[in-house]
Amino acid sequence: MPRIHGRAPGAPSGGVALEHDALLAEIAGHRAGLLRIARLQLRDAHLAEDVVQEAMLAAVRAAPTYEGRGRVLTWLVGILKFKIVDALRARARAPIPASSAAEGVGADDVDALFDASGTWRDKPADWTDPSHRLRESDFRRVLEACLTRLPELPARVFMLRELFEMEPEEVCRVAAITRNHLNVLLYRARMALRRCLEARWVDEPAGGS
Amino acid sequence: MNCRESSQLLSEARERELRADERRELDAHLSICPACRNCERHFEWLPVLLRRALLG
Repeated sequence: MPRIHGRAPGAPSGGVALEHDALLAEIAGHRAGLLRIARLQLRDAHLAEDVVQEAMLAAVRAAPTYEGRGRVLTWLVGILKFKIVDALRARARAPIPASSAAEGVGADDVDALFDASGTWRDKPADWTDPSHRLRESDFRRVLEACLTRLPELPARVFMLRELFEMEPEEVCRVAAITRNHLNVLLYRARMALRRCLEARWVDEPAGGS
Repeated sequence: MNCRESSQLLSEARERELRADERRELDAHLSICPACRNCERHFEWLPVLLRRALLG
């Protein structure tokens, strides 16, 4: 196994509050959830496996210094974020395929949402808490399906911004895009997601499967 | 300001503070447009839902 030096990012230092074995078991138990995030973010099953493997290894190495403040999953996602950013940076050095380089600059999908005067064709509805409408597993499935329908670049920057809560400037650096491009991509992602979720949640009967 | 411009500013407002003139025009539009007010709430919901779905 490759040696990972240093303390994992975000790992609290200090005393041990959780039983070491219990913590290792909990880390292992989050593998599927981390893999789900990495796959959505990277859209490359092998790379996602590698990144999650590295994040879990880093977590296991940092486990002796884990203080047990806050949730283990939050701590793990913090580690995963750094591994994903590393992977994206490494991939950004490789030539970008023409299809993905052009991706996200077209406005056709947004054009379709408005009439010539810039008024909504389908007016956004009044949502109550939409996550209560579906069982947890269905809710996650719908959200993942909507994210997967997005082109790769808008989906990636949206997740860096809204899941990992990265600052806009940091997202621009990681994705190697300008601030204007980021605004366009985030707008496009938000518009597509809100519409996709609305179509599936509002139009599906409450509690539907 | 129309709904398209309004929705663009609602998105950008999540990454930067709007200029006073932008804020004024946006608020004026929102005061007469329930659909854009819903859109604003949807943009607020997205990160909440994303985190709830993927982070439990």
